[in-house]
Amino acid sequence: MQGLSLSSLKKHRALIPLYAIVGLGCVGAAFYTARLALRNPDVAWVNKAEGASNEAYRSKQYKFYSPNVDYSNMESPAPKY
Amino acid sequence: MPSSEVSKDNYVLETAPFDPRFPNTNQTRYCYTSFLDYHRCQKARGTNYAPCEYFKKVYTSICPHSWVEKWDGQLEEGTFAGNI
Repeated sequence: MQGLSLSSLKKHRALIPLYAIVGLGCVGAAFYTARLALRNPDVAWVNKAEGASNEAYRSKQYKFYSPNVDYSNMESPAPKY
Repeated sequence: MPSSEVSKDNYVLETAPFDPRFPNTNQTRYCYTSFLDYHRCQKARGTNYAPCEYFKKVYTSICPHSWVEKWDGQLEEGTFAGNI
């Protein structure tokens, strides 16, 4: 098909932005899904210490953008026993 | 909350604080983890360890009452699924 190889893409330059934008969308979707699966404090893949998967987030920010909560000096109020 | 020890004058009405470990809207895990932590804490430190009461305060605020009743019943029967 025209536009799928590098040589024919030179003849149909209008396709380049389409490829760039779709590529960016794919990368973004893959990154976000992977982040949800691997970094989300509510997700645990190994159930070794049940309920302890999110201990790493005691003083860390998970949200990309947090206008209301300042995480810089926030610590989980739960006591360690 | 052990409100019986606090006199009515300086009683502070408050809910569970924001916890960075549970930043999402869905707080189900905050509820369950606090319930587990309360019983783990009591198992590790004994029933008179005051900081444990923090977890009880949190799970009574966050959890639906029916869940807590169900879990307490399961704990009594020894059929609770969590690892305490």
